Parts: sequence; C-alpha cells; structure tokens
Amino acid sequence: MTRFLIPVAVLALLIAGLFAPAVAQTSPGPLRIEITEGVIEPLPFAAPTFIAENAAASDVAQDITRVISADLRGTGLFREIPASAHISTITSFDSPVQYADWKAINAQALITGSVEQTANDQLVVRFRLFDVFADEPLGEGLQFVGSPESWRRMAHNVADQVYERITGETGYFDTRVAFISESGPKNARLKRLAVMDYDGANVQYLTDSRAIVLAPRFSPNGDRVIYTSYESGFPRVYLMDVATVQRRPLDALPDTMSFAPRFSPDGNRVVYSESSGGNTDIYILDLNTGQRTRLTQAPSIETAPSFSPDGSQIVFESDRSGRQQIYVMPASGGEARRVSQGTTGRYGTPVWSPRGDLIAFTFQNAGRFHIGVMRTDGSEERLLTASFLDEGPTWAPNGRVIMFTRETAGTDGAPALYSVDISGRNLQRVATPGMASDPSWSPRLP
Amino acid sequence: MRRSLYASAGIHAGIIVWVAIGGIVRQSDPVLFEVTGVSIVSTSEFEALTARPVTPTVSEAPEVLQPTPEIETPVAPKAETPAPDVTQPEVAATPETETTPDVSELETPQADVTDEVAALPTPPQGDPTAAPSETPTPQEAPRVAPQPAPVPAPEVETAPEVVEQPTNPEPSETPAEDVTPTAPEEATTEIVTEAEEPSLGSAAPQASVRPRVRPNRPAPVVETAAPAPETPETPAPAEEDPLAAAIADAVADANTAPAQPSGPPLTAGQRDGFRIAVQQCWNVGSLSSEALQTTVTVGVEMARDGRPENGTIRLIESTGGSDAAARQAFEAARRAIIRCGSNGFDLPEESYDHWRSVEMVFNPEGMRLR
Repeated sequence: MTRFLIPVAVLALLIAGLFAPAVAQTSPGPLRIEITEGVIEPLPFAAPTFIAENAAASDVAQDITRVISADLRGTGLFREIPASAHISTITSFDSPVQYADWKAINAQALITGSVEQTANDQLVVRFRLFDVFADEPLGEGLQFVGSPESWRRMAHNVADQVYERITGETGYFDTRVAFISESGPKNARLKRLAVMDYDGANVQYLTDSRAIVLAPRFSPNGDRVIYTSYESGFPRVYLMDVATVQRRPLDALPDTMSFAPRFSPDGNRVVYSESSGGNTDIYILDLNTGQRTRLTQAPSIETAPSFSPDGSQIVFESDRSGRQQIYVMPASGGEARRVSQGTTGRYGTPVWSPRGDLIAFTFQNAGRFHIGVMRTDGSEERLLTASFLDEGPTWAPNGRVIMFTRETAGTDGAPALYSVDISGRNLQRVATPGMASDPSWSPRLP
Repeated sequence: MRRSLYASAGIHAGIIVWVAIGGIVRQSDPVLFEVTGVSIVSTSEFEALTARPVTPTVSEAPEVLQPTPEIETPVAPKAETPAPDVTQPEVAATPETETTPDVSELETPQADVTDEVAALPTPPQGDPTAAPSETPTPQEAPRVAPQPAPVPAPEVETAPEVVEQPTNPEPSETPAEDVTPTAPEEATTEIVTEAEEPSLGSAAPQASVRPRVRPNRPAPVVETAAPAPETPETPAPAEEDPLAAAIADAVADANTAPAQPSGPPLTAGQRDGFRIAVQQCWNVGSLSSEALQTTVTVGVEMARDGRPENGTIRLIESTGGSDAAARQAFEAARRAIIRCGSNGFDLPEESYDHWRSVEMVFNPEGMRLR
C-alpha cells in the first residue's frame, strides 16, 4: 500500500509545486518601465548673492557669488537663473528655504551662503546646496576660512563642492594654468612664462621676455614648473620653483638640445626629448640622483612623451612608421606599440588623461588641425575640434575638460587658449591678457 | 480493506487532476505586466497614443514662461578677470603669488558648519504643494535652449596697458573663424535623443481586456476528500494524514491566490506615454561619465491623481557604477520623476491598481558620450 501511496504523494507535491509559480505570477507587482532616452541640457541653478554678515564683507560677498556662478556656468553643465527671476530672497543664511518658490522658476539646485570678515582679518565663507525638487539639502553645509586676499580661491572651492555634489566628478576650479604669454608681431614674438587661475584671473609672469620659452608643465603637486628655454641660445630644459621663481637648467650633454619635458606622476623624474646629431630620442632624468636614461633608440624622431597616471607607461609620438603616429611603451623603455589607428594625417602631442582612460592628441589632416581623444588602445577615436591650428592639449585634473592652443591664420594670426569638454561640447575661449599658448593645467591646489 | 484503499487512491487522484486542471485554467486570466507585448497598431493610432502624454511639460508656472525669453548672455566674466596685475615684473622678480600663501590658511572643507546643518531649521515648509509665495508670476527660467553653452562673446578684456598688445588681433575675428568648424558633435549637443521610433510594435493597446474575474472553482472537492477516510471501517491509516494534508495545502494554495488588481491593465500606448513623460525630464547632461554608465532602478508609489508620492521615491538597485555614481544617477532620476510628475502623469484612474506602485529603470546606455 505504501508503495502506491508514496508515488501519489510525490505526484501531488510535484503538481502543487508546478502550479504554485503560476499562481504567484498573478499577484499584482509594481508596474515596470524602462527609460533609455533622456535629455542633455544644463542644469538650472540659482545662486542668490551670499549674505554679508557684516558691512566689511559686503563687496566680497558679491564677488564670491559672481565667481561661483561663473565657474559653474563655464562648465556648460549648468545654467544660472538670473536674480531678476527669483521669487524668494534669502535674508539669512539659516533661514528655511522656500522650495516652492525655487521650483516655480525651475531652479533644480539652490546655492546659499554667507560671508563674514572677522575681527582678526579672516574671511569666513559658508554655503549650503539644496536639491530643490527633492526638498532637501544636497550634502552638508561647509565653511572656508582664509585671508581676504584668497577670496577667489574660497569661491572656487565652493564651486568645486557644488560641481562635485551634482555631477559626481571632481571639481577643477581651484586650479592654475601655466602658459606662454605672447606679445609683439608674428615675426618677432616675445614670449614669457606665466601662470594664472584657471579662469584667467591673477596672472603672474615668471620670466621676462628676453629669452624664448616654450611648453611649460606643472609638477604633480603644482609647486614647480618645468619648461624649455632658449636662454642659453639653444633649447634646454629648466626647472622652476613657482613660489620663489628660482630656476635651474637640467643636466644635459654638450651640443644637444633638450625639450618637451614632462614630470612623472611622483614628481621625481622628468621625461623629455633630446636631439643630438640630427636624431631625437626620449630620455628620462631622475631629479634626485641626476641619473639620465635613454628610453628609445630609433633613428626616427621620438618626442612629446607623457606618463600614464600610474607611471607605468609612456605615450609619445614618433615617425618611425613613415608618418607621425602615437605609440605607448613601458616607462622603463622597451618595445613600443602603435596606438593611433588612422591611415591618414599625423598624430602628435599625446597626453594621458589623469583618469587614465583616454589619450588626448593633436591631429593634422587635410590642412586642418584637430584636438581629439582616444582610448589608450587607440580605439574610439573622436575629434573634438577643428580649425586652422589647434594643438598642445592639456587635461583638467578631473579628466573631463581639455585646454589647448588655437591660432588663427594670416600674418596677424594670434594664439589663444581654448577649452572643450571631452564630449566635444562647450568649446570656450579662456580669458587671458593678450595672446597665449602652450597651456598646462595644474592639479587641484592643496 | 484493499477496496477502501483503491477508493481512497482514486479520490486522491481525482483531486490531483482537479488541481492540475484548475491551475491551468486559472493560468489564463492573469495579465502579466512584465511581458513586453508586441502588437500592431496603425501609425495614426500610435501617434494619437504617444502625442497626448508629450504635452504635459513641466512648467510649474505654465504659460507665463514665455515672457522671459533668453536669460543668459552672461556678462559676468568681464568683472571676474580682474584687470590682471599685468604689471610687468621686470626680470624674474619673485612674484608675490598671493594665492600660494593663502592656501595654507585656507581650511579646506572642514565640516564645521555641518553641525549647523544638522541643527538647521531646514526647509520645514510643506512647500511641494505650497504655491509660490509671491505670485506665480513670470520670471520663469525657460527650459534650456537647445544650444549648449553659447560660446560667450570672447570678452577677453585684455589688459589695456600691455605695451605690445597692439599686434594681437584680439578676439573679434578669432572666434568667428574657429567656432565654425569645430566639433560637429558639439553642435549636436543637447537632446541627443534618438528618433522617436523606439518600440514600434509596443504601442498596441492589445485587447488584453480579459475577464477580470477568476473562475471560482467549486470547493466541494475539498469536502469529499475529507470524509473519504471515514468510509472504511478500519481506522484511518497513519499515512493518509500527511497525504491529505499535502493535497489540502495544494488546493488551499491554489484557492488563496492574491487579489487581482481591479480595472484594465495599462495599454502599451499608455505605458509608452508614461515613459515618454518621464524621460522628458530625465536630464543626464550634468552627470559624470561614471554615472552615465550606471543603470538605476527607482521605485515610487503613485497617488490616484497620477502624482508621484515624492517621499516614497527610492533606489531599488543599481548596476554598472560605484555607490557614488549610483547616487548621482538616482538623484537625476528622482528629479525627473518629481519634475514631470508634479502635475500628475496621464494615467487612467480606473487602472490605478496597476500603476499605484511603479519601478522605473533608468538606463543611460544610449546617452553616453559619443
């Protein structure tokens, strides 16, 4: 009997189990929809003028607010809603936010803040960021303290925080740019090494115009600049301390030309090109020991080396294949692999992204110059710009924006600095006093 | 005894067959949302279905928006570029890099204020619904114009004093030249939205208007099963209890199916309309590239009038990115739901049971940088 009952019981359980899912499926679950298309537009934000906690801070409060707004607008990712459209007014840093008023004008982010100049001559800047449609603060409020002269840096710091909280990318506003300031007619240009805030403010000249200077590059922590100068009559690499403006030439063999220097990620080595007897190769110099090592041995021209962020590889340009292309080799030298895939045009001045995912480069083809980016294996190449002459890309420390030199055609053509997002959008001219070229973006200031 | 055994077995087998058939029959009524229904609809019908939901754009302050056309034209930059102290530092005179010294003093983001934040009498107001204090008047910020950041007039305001300046041709002509050719993708910018042909076949409103009532099977069988053991004179064998219990359980399970949602399910067109309404507000323009690789599933409970209950918007799961990226992606998704849902989504109230709880998958795969 049991022999008969057991199969029946098993059958019963199987059947019950078989249909249980079917029954379960009938339960009403949530409606599920998939959204795959959105819009790409700047995020509207409102930044009412920061509250001046005392009369002494009145002017600087306005200045700080203005710089913050300019920083955000300049990214192309944000759009400021003008004060004239505001319904609410912020009368106190701690007063509650009337979200409905900000929603009514479609402000998706709201920045409020206050500025106070203390008795001991310190500037205190506080701010809060709100996600208007979520009816809540976005992150915590922060406070910056500094000297009144550093108000711009504090403004950039606030903007960096806002940028980071909304986009998830690291901000790049509290940075500087080293560049070559140019003046004079095209056939007799005067060039000087200069540094400025990323937005063109606080320009400082580090050299006079007696010698031609080229291609400055910031050290990884921004305290030094390495550049090429014709001070001695032929190109040679110099190292300068930005704070003291003290400089010294790097060791070089007689009758050689050294140029295109760039720091290693740890700041202890410099990779550069050296030309001797008509051949140009890449060398690396240990700044602490002075040891100099040759990395390439080809009879072709190898130049414009740039380290990968982890310091393990070097990307450079070479015409070893007959046409200028981009190659990658181990940082210790050795076999190089070509990464640029194009069959036409010439690739040059490659620069590894701080994020390590892309290589920016200059591409020349059919009489036009372009700034482009590609994956480190050469795939997904995209040209971002095109003009008479675009060259010398440098990365913002967050790896999302590229600054470069654009020169106009003609006898009165002039170089200027431009920036562009890696998507190819938001092409902008960078404000500089006069002509400028060869930008080098610093890391975030400490 | 043997006879009673056969009788018992026969009855049980009958019950099992009934369960099987009952289950099969019942299977036909539920309408599963997850299944992507593909059906054919005429183009006019499709347009009619999709066009409707498109209309309800955001606008808290509806029509008044128009008056304020273009806002931008930032004039600011001028002021920022502080007349650079271009004062030629003769020879390498150690430039008083004013900024450098400050750096040390600058106490970077110390969360001192944090406490205050906590103590903040933060936005207590029940604003969401509250009408804007001073008149919902104009000054609306028009929804972003298609062109990205209009390359601001090259107001580089060069330092006037610079001696050699004259030579430099100034921005005037430069920009004109360059802007033209550059990056074609830059021009495409904003709404990279693909054509509107997404799911052509999905629109069909399919007459999935099945009878909502489940065919209730008479329960008598259960009774018959119970008495069965009595019939035999002999005491009920011990094995029968578990067997009967298993069968009873199976039957009970089958009968206690959860309540069916009332009302007809959403048609494919209605679902598409809902989707389109949300994606109009899903702005990924300010997301990091990592967040653009993160797909988030967001849950939200809906009110009967089609408005999302903002407090219930939650991140259910994310794939493809770090926690930070998932947070950014979630916040963008939340903004989309709240903004476009503020006036209520166009959803049929009679089907409320079908959309009272919604899960939206925001997949930015097609929106990444190209």
